[in-house]
Amino acid sequence: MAAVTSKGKTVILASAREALLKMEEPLCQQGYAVQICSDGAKALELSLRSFCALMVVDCDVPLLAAEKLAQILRANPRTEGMAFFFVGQEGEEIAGFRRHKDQFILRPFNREQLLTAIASFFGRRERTEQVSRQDREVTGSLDQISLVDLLQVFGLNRKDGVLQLTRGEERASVYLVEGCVVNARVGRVSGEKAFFRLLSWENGKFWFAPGVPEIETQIASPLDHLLMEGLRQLDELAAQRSSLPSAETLLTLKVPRDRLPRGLRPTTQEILLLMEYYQQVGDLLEHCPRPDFEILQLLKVLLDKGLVEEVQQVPAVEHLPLLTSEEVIAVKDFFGEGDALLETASAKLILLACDQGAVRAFAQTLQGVPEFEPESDFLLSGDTLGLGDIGRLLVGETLSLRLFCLPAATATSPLWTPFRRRLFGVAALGDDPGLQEAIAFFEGTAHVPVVRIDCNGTSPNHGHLLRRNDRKALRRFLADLASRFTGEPPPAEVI
Amino acid sequence: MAKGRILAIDNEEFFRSLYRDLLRGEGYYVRTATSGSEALECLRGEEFDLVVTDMHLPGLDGLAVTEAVRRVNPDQEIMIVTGQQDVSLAVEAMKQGVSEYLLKPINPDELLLVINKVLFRQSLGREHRRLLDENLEFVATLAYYRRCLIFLQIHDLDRLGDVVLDNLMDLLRAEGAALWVIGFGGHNYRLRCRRGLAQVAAGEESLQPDSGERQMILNGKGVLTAGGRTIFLPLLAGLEPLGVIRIEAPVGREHFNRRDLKVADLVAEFATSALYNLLLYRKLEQDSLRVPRGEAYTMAFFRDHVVKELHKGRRYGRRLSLVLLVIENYAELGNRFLDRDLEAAMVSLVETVNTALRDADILAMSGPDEYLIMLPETDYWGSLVTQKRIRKALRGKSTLCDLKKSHSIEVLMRSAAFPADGGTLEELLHVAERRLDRLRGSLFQRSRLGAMSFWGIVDRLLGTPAQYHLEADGSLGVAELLTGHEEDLRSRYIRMPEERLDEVMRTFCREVAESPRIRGVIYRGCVDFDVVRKCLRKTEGLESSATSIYLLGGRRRVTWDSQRIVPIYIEDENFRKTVFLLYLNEDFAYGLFARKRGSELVGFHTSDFYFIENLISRLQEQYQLQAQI
Repeated sequence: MAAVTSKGKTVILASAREALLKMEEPLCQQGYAVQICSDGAKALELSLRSFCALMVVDCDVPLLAAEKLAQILRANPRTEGMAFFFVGQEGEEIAGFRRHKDQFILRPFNREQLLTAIASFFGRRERTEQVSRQDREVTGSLDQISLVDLLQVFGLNRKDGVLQLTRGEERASVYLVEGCVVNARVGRVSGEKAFFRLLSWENGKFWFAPGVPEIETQIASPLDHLLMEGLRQLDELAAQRSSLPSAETLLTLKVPRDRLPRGLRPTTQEILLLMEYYQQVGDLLEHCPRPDFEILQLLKVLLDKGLVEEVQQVPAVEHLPLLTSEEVIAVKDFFGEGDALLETASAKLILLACDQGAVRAFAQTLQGVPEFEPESDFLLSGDTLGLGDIGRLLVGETLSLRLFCLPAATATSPLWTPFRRRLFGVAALGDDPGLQEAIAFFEGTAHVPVVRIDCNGTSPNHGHLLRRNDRKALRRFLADLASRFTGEPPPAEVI
Repeated sequence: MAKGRILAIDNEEFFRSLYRDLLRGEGYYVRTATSGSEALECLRGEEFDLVVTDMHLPGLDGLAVTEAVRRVNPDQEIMIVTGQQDVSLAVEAMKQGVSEYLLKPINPDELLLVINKVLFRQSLGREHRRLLDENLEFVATLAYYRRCLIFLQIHDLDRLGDVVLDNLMDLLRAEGAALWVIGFGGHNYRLRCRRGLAQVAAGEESLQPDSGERQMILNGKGVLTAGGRTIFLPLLAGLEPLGVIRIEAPVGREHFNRRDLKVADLVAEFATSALYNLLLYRKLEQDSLRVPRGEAYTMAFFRDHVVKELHKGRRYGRRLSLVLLVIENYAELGNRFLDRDLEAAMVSLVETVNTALRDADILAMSGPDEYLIMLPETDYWGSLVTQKRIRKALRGKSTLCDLKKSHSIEVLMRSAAFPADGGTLEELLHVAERRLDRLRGSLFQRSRLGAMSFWGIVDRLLGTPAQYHLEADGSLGVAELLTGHEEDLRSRYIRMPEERLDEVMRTFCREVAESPRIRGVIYRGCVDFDVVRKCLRKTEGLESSATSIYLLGGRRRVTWDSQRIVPIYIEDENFRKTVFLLYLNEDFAYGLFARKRGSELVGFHTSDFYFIENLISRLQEQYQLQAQI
């Protein structure tokens, strides 16, 4: 270990040119030990003497060419780990260039960019070293020491690192910086919500990997407060369990979205919006970033107030596949990047719209479709028409359709082109005359069929009529688009 | 001619005249000396086959003379004549290396017999030495020939050059050598190979021999130049000069010598025939596969080759790109210049383009103003990189001058890739032509932005705030001066909420993460790096993608632990005034420039591929960014 630290962050700059030698000052400012020399022979001497990790060298450095220099140093066991950044002309070739380690920098170069490249080189190196010396300092089982105790020990010792936990199939991590929990993760949930859930784990294995974790800080409160709050919520949850809705309960909104009372608290609003797509309490808990206890309490209030009601088992939907496996294969073949048939891939279904209302109406028809996974950004967005993903339809094990909303106004027309990649199809929402130009564009220039969709039933002779819980219509619509990939008309049973 | 040269030494006139008369009568050349010192004087001036000396001489005696002569010429045959019969003296003389020993009085027949014998023996020895020397030289020459034989087996010009130079350096014990081969038209010689420590000065890539040098070349023999420190070795086949070699830096001695020249000439002879055959072969190939003048291939060859490559591509899943290169103002140039000048310009243009291509790329001429380049194993992105390289190589070189002013040759290029754009040569050509048409209509061509800087172009597009009218209903009015930049569905002025920019950027990042293999580059000008980073939210998918995202501007230098999202701090007021987003990938491009008006952004956006491509390269040049494309 001592050798690693003494190697430190030493950089050798070898060049007869001003531009490269001038890098010395900013590098020193960034905390690197910098050694400069103006010829290859000197560079060789310096690198053999000092343990340095990186040499930035001009290809045509005098006395000893960079290529030769690198060759000599790589052959020496003391310096074989060195990386080289070669600075040279366009089209220069360097014998023995190692793509994974060395870099070629074109002259003239931007100082800041070179600095960034050097910083990222050392960053990467540090991480590799961390991984390689990752010795499990503490391991054990939660039966013997509870998570709370464990965290308090780490807190007292002001530890940096990641606490990994496993319980059966479940995996979780708690990230610590200077003894404070900065983030936690269980499955797809992160932040305080995840941390509070973890506090209820009473058995399982854990191990601690020291080192400063690279993670976004999502928890800001001090450890003591965090633990107290978590334990309080756990206790109360246990006490009130009987009166709170259970995870299997199915709920439904009694008032439509646009008739919701004004001035709701943000959390309440969020839950109500999510409820448009998720009916089971368990799903709501998974998808809402608020702590579980808070959600359950809110749901109870909403139930009491009558905004939400409990529904009995929904009628089992006949499980009609949205796309048959032949269709999925045809689509993947069409977009195939080599032999990626087994990898998960996505294709885009563009939704052309003139206003956000049309997009919302379309999204509502997908409620209750188990394959539909809405995007939280979209759920929480305002009433102005934006662009981007509103969600995904997981049509097969390895294929998902991205539902991608694109404004149809001509002022935004330059945006139509860049999203033409991997197009499953285009759907025009509604019958606004403003859609016409965009439809012509996609049919004419992009050669993609555009299907009109009607979600309100106002113009029944115009394209596909989609309604909530009408799985057949959705299947018909997708089969129609997929026929372009299979080269055959949609299967008879869906028409 | 005399039968032999004899020097006779005797202090008695009688014997001297006896020698003279007797030996001259037999056809020998005879000189006489009265004393040892006189004899030595004679030997200094002339060479003799035999020295005949009396044993008893005043001053130096016979033995002393023998010793003195031996000192000057150890091989000298010496015969001693003496009046006394003294065995010990005779033994002493024989020890000194005297060939024969004769007693006075002299019997003429005996004397002649002995002299004949000595001279015969001497000539035998000489003959033997000569044969030995000849044999040695013969063996050495044979070794040189052997080494040079390999030249004839090489069919690649560069390799031949290297081998010739290496052999020369080895045989002459020199540390450096360079070869220039005659160029098109035979006016100049172009540097082809350079080995060892050869020093080629900046202007020497192309040698333009003056009359003296031309004479040296036509002589066809190696010449010592620079006071013997270099050898100038012409390669002359008959009367046709093929090239010039310069050998430098003799090892272990200051100068090259005559022997070196001889060896060099010998090697040159071989090298010349090998080079001659090779050039002939190349010419033959050129005549059948390439257009008569210049380095471009004929279409027949090209078509055939591309079809084969396409088969290969289909079978093994390989990629291939085709670049269409058009001289846009060929007709105009044709009106202005002589055909000969125009043709020469085209030839040199093709040569320049070839310097930017890789060895496996093939350039063919499909019309006087149209060329096709096939890039094997290259996708569309790679072909864009090639085009950029060609543009760079042509910069400053694509002009034609008449007496009054110079005219630039306008070169336009566009490419199509297999299998994305089509499966046959015709389809690919069609796609490339369509793209070329679009390029002609590109904002960059239409508005003649060619010579402007990045910010110059941006300022011109965005105009001044007074040129926009923000209507209350959210629509945007733009002054007449600016609407010229607009193009139906491709380039528009836009007004949007400020957050929309982040939303667009986020969506692009999402696209990148969903198709990670597509190569591309995103440039975003920003005021604060951290704010932009935050708005990107999920960035995990980006790290494993083939797209680089650069954030430019910022308030200060920041370091992030990310390979793909790279902040580059640039202190420039412009980044604070104008935000921009440029996205270029293998298929599409998008660019947006806007200025803040209240909580809205007002600006211009476009999906004009050629425009974005050029703007990005302007940006890279301006801030010396490493070119990703």
